[in-house]
Amino acid sequence: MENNVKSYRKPYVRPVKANWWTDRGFYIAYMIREATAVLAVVVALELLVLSCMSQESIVAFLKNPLVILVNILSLASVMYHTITWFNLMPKAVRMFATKKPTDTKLIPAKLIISAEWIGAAVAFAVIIVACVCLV
Amino acid sequence: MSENQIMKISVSRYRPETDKEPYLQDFEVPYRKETSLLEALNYIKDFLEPELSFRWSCRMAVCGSCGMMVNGVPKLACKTFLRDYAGKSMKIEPLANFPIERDLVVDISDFIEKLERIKPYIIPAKEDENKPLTEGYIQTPQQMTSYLQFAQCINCGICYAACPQYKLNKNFIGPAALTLAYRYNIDSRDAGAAERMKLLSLDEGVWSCTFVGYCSQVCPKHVDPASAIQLGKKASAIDYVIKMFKPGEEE
Repeated sequence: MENNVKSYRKPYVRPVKANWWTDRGFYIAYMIREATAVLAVVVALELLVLSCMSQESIVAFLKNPLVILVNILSLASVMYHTITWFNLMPKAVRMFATKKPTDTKLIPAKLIISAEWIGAAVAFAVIIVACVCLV
Repeated sequence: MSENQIMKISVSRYRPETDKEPYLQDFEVPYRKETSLLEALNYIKDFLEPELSFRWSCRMAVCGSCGMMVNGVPKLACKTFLRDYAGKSMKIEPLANFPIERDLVVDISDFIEKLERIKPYIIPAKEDENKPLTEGYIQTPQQMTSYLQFAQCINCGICYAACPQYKLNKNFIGPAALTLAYRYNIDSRDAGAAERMKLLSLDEGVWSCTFVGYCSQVCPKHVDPASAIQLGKKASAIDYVIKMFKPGEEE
């Protein structure tokens, strides 16, 4: 059917600003989480460089105030990434406690997060023990 | 709280026949403890600016019509109360990431098209097609609980307004549609998973999500789309591995 009514439609599409993520604290926190990848690369490169150096130069390198600062920042960013990522993990885990057809209780998020920290603690312990044994 | 306090509300206006771009218009609206933003907008329309356009219907967070940005946060106007902004002002804008038709009305047809694409309904298995409802569709409480939360979606589009990936890439199928795709895929009565998996596994499917998680924060029905999408990623990855070992198997 022919439509003879004049249309005034002129949809307005809002422009996307490059700094859209500065609008909300939530987006800023997300962008920081993503940006921690940069410091992870820095640490990986640092380890690569260290592996090619003599023992004395490693010690001298690590004592450089700039290197200490970068390492402290890297540790902080890794901690931030770990905490935020561990807290998100329950969203990717949706499991019932038992397989009973009448069981409608999902495993609570708190339990999943605790399990992640226990896992991390065990991994750390293994790495530290391995390091001590190797040296 | 005393009766009839005054709230300063700045409302975004856009009239396509005269305006080049949206602008803000200020109103002073009296409110009580129970006044919702939707009631405040209706007060403006009734007494201050009869031309103001906005969408609404049920007044009780069921229809999903009145999504809009309140001080930059996507919310349902009917579920937003002026008392929570006492001492502050309110800036009301149309739902972000959608084209503005007029004032607070946005065009959500892109979202609706994506919703249709993922087939948000039960596709019965061949053997269930002609069975009576009482036989083909029996479910245990656990089978129902597995998807029930994701089935609470009212298609309000608030998660699309919260999603930076959708803001940057309009091809992204987006939170609500992907959530419903996952919801039907895990429904024990449904046999359409293979059809939906093709869309879910696309670049513009679950893999365009970078787990910002703001969709789950703002969802008025606590659907938790971010959760459904991460679970969708898991299902998509498993599907990919299975297909690697069983190539050429298309139904």
